[in-house]
Amino acid sequence: MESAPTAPYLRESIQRLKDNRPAMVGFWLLVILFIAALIAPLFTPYTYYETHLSLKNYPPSKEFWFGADELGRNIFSRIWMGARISLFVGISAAFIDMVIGVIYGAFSGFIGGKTDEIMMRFCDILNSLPQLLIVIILLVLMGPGLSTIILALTLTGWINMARIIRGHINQIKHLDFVLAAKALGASRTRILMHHLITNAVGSIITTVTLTIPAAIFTESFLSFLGLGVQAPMASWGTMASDGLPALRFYPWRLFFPAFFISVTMLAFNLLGEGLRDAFDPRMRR
Amino acid sequence: MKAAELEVRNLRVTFYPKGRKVQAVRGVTFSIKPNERVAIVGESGSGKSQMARAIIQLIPDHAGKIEAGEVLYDGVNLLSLKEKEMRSYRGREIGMIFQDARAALSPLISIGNQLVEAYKNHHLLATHQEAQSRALELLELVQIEDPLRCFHQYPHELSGGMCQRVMIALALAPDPKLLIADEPTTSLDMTLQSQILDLLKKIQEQMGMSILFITHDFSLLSGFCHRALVMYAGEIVEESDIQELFNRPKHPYTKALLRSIPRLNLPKSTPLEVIEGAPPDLSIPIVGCPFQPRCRFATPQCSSSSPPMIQRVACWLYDPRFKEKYDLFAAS
Repeated sequence: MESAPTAPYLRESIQRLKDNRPAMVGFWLLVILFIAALIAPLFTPYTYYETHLSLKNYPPSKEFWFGADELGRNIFSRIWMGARISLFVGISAAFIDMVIGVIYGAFSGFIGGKTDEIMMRFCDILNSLPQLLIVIILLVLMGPGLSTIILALTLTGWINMARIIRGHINQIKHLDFVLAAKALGASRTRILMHHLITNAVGSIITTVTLTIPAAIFTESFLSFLGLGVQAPMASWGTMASDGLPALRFYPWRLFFPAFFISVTMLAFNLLGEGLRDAFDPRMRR
Repeated sequence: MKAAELEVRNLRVTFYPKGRKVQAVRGVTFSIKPNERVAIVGESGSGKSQMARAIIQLIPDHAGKIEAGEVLYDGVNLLSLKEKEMRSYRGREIGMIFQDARAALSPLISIGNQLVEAYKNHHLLATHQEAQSRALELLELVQIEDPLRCFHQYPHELSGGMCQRVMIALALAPDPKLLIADEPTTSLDMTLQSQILDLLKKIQEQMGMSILFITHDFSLLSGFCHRALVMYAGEIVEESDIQELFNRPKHPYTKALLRSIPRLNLPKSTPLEVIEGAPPDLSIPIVGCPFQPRCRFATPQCSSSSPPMIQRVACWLYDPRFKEKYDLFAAS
């Protein structure tokens, strides 16, 4: 702290994050998951798609670490393939939601008045379309695939973010510090970017970290309905739904995908919580 | 640095809460000379804060608007400027100190960065280093003990007094020529109040600016201001040099107010004088003198037409026609 004054905000936030043990647990769990998703499939000779019909529902063993599914495919390989899909879908959907939602919501909340009213009613209209309908229409138009799922998730997903940011901005835009910034000659853009969005950072991060697991779940759900990734591509959702009927006899088929879904959710939530605290100096002890 | 001259003419501000029409400021005229410390005194709801905000056009569009008047700053009518032109006056020419300093500081930006930003808003060519050293200078100027430490702190880590000092530093960052201090000491305790006022006075003398000091507390005026304007129901009812205000208040309202200050040198049994009644409802158009319903010396004239400024006071008693009433008032 005795050094020359530099922009300390980011550095201090990172330090606060590092001091937060649960958040770091979440962070490292995610790092491990990411690395594993990238390289773990290299450690087994079995690919995620080849079937070994003689090894149907084979329990976890030296060969098949997480066992095999009903077609004798290696669950270990499929888990990490599914991890790639799930993480990719979750993160890209959450990111696109964030960008659109923050811009839209901040603008709407800041301008206020009739513009705000119209922009928010547009959200309501868009939100009133059943998501499944949108997904099906998109699938017909674009064919199944990852980009279709991400588009389907983000087409209405950003509304949640926009509403939260709009509410937050609306709530703080008449506070004294905004008036004070104006009294100091700050421009509207500067007030919006520097003061309002900075103050909404806590809710942005929290919402993003909740959007990621939600997107992963939705992807699983769509896959479960057969609208998601197509066989032989794996995703945690398809694997869990495939494993469900076999729960009583071959529990590992459900256990592993469910376990990794849970771990990922937990890790994102821990990290999200920590990030929110870190970016909000009022949380400083 | 050359201090500036501010002249406000017939300023009117109206608010529109829930379809009603509240005339918060009803034709205010006054001026501030360079290097002068002028106070505006008035009770809550007398329109003094809104008047101050109207000077630099901080009245939110959705809430109310400036109906009429001129705000001449060094001869330029600020009310005729475009928003973008106005921005170069806010902060740079006219600084503002808010009542609740903690709320007026951005909670998620460090003190140092807020000061740097305030400076850079108006010094576009300044480097970050320049702005930083200026920020540290300002923190020192407002007598913060450890400027470097404060530079890195956030508003919630500071005490109320520190926040107000930072607020002052922030207002001073762009080098304004006129400082509007809107009840800068209200949220502070007594000892801090006098410290902050001494600080403001010292800085004003040192930097040579003008101060428009807004308060509801007469006791803060005597050592601080050259001149005071008494505001009631959105109007200025009396203008007076500070000594004269205390020694010979001219308006019945001022006199009554000064009497209602508790004093220790009176016998214990003396009841505290109060002003009967309540300030008028500003959503109903006022005819005549706004103080007339509460005034003990009211004449029929007072309820029918509003008093002009006679000898720097807006009161019919100073009209020769009401000499008798005036004698009664003077003797009270």
